[in-house]
Amino acid sequence: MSGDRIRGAFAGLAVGDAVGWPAGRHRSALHAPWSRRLHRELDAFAEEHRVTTLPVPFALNQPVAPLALGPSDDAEWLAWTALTIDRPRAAAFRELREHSKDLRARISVATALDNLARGVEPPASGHDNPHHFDDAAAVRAVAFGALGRDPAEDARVTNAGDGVLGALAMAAAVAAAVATGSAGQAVEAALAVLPDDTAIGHNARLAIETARAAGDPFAAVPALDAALLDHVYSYAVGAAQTVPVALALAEVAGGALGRAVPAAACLAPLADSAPALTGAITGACGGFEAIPEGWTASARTLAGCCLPHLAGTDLIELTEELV
Amino acid sequence: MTSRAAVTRPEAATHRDRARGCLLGLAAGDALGAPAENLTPAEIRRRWGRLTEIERGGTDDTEYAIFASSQLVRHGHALTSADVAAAYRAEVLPRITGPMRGAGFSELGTVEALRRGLEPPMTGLVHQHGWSDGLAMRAAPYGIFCPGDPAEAARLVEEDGRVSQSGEGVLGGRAVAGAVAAAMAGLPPREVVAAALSVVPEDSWTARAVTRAVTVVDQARQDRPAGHDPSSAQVRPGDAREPDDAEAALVEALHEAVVVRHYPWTDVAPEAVALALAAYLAGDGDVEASVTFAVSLGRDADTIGAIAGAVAGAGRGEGGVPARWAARIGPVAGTCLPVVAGRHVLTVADELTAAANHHRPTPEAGDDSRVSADAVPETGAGDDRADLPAPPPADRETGPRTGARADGPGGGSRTAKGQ
Repeated sequence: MSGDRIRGAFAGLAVGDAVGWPAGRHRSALHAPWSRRLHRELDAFAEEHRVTTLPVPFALNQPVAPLALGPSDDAEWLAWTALTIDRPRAAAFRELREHSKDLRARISVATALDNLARGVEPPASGHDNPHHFDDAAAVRAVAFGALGRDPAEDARVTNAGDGVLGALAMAAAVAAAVATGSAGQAVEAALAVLPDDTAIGHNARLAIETARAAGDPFAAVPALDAALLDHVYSYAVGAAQTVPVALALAEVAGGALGRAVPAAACLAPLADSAPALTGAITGACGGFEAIPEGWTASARTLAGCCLPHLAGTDLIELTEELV
Repeated sequence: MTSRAAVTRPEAATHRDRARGCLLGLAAGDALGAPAENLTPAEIRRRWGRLTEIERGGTDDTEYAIFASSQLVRHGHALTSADVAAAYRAEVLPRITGPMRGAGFSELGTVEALRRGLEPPMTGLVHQHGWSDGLAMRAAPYGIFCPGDPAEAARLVEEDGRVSQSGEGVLGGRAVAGAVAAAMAGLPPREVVAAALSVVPEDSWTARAVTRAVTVVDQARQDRPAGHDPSSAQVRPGDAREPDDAEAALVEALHEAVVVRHYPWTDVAPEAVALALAAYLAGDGDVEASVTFAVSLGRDADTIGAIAGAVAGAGRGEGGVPARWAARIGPVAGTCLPVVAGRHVLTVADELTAAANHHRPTPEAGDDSRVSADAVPETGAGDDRADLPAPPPADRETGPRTGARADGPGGGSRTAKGQ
């Protein structure tokens, strides 16, 4: 049973990753650079001409496969984490940097790789980092949590503060979900590692309270937007927002992926990672077999849009070897 | 540190003179750096050679420093984060109608947190830009208020900082307040930088960045014969000479040492503070040399210039700030913070001097009589803030007005996109 839940955590993350609108933008990285330049020009065109027809990722003279529904950055980083989980973490990142010069990564990870290259070791590599608070480590922590391992060493390579706490919380939630199948216990385990006096701890309790008051994942969307998102900063991958939303929606959905993940995708600014984190927790709660087959079929094959060497890798087959 | 005040330069010995030099230096650095913000050093060299003349008014750095000063004058050493949050609620939030001009992410994030009813330190923790240089840019008044006492200056600035910043954003403010406090006691540049480092944990991004930057400056010194420091060459008004190769190499080395490459915003506190203190060291504490080199670094050039100017100005006093720069500094427009409109940094400096003496149990002999004689009236007609000493009336009418930053879309952000 727990093997099914471990697979559920991985597949659930990939499904949530595919659900969010940024997935198409990440996957369009597989197209020629001029194609994305044209996209930027269409954005400027809409502004210049005051037309409300907004561009979406498109395939002019390019293969259409990357733009089909599918997983993107988060699923690839999760797969890489699972494949390298036995390596010392700083060494794993160094090896990745050497072997994959053309990788794409979050600001926190890109900065950490620069830090490692200039001799700034963990935990400073994750701390001396303008995006130390993001959820890159929280995504990778799904692998650690599903396999019952401690994500801290990995998290500290690229993150600090709320970014590390987000990883600890996700690992705790996924581990509890794999062990018990209960979203309530997953949330309880996560809250136990989130101090009240941190932004992520404050927001997690606020989000859970907000979602409970709304009583339903979809009903909670506007209240979560009002309570948690400040709409000020230019990026919305802060662990103090995405992890609390994932915990709250997983709980109020009673661990049902099909109810929690779509609601997470509705919080548009958080749609890059909150649906993925929500999918990981609820995927673990319900197990792999409970995820609609159409979704797992669409989300299991990695595109290689961030980590090119993983193109074509089947995430679920990879998971089978770990279970 | 107070005992070190014995080494003060005679011509810059009074608290009032240093306070005026500090805030004038801050305002001048802010104004000089404004057009260079977010430009690459190469682009700055292409446009100006060395940027030596103030082209436009100051920005948020000056206005927020004035706002911070008013908190200090009001509350002194008893200042708490709750006092600062109350001031935001009473004096900043009600005046925001439409765009919050000149606000960086940390300022607007703080406003949103306050509007949600949060209290410090959560107001500084909950938004995602707590490590910006928004506190470092307004930290100088805390150093003025605590001459020779970097630890107390750092403690006080942290009370302010916990409202809007977290982590390294608070540490950047502590470092600048500590540096100014040491410079206010007349310490030489290297000891001023040591004072900045003394009030931040060794195991911090700020300490590591400052240390790396200092090493780069030292290395440049070793590579050049004495008397030929790249940035301490005398610069004359209007001199748009091409900076030499050694200076360009120093700029490049400083960027390599502390600048975050894969991040589009430039107002990262550890970076701005390290670059500013490096410029101050490279300029050997001279206001003009330090500030012109600071703004040649680009990035958050107005804030880097403001910090370098504040520290150097505290060390050299009002006379150390080039007269042609001082002539360009008028009352602020209040574009970013309407509550400070019409206030002049020199008036504010005098108020801080008066307040520092008022709040000090045992005022230093010699300094006190001078300061008391110069102290401004406690209240004044025409000033609607009865709890603040009023500026002399002429302050509001004379001198070129400091036009704070433009307010067009994006143009009002002190964190406009980097290179």
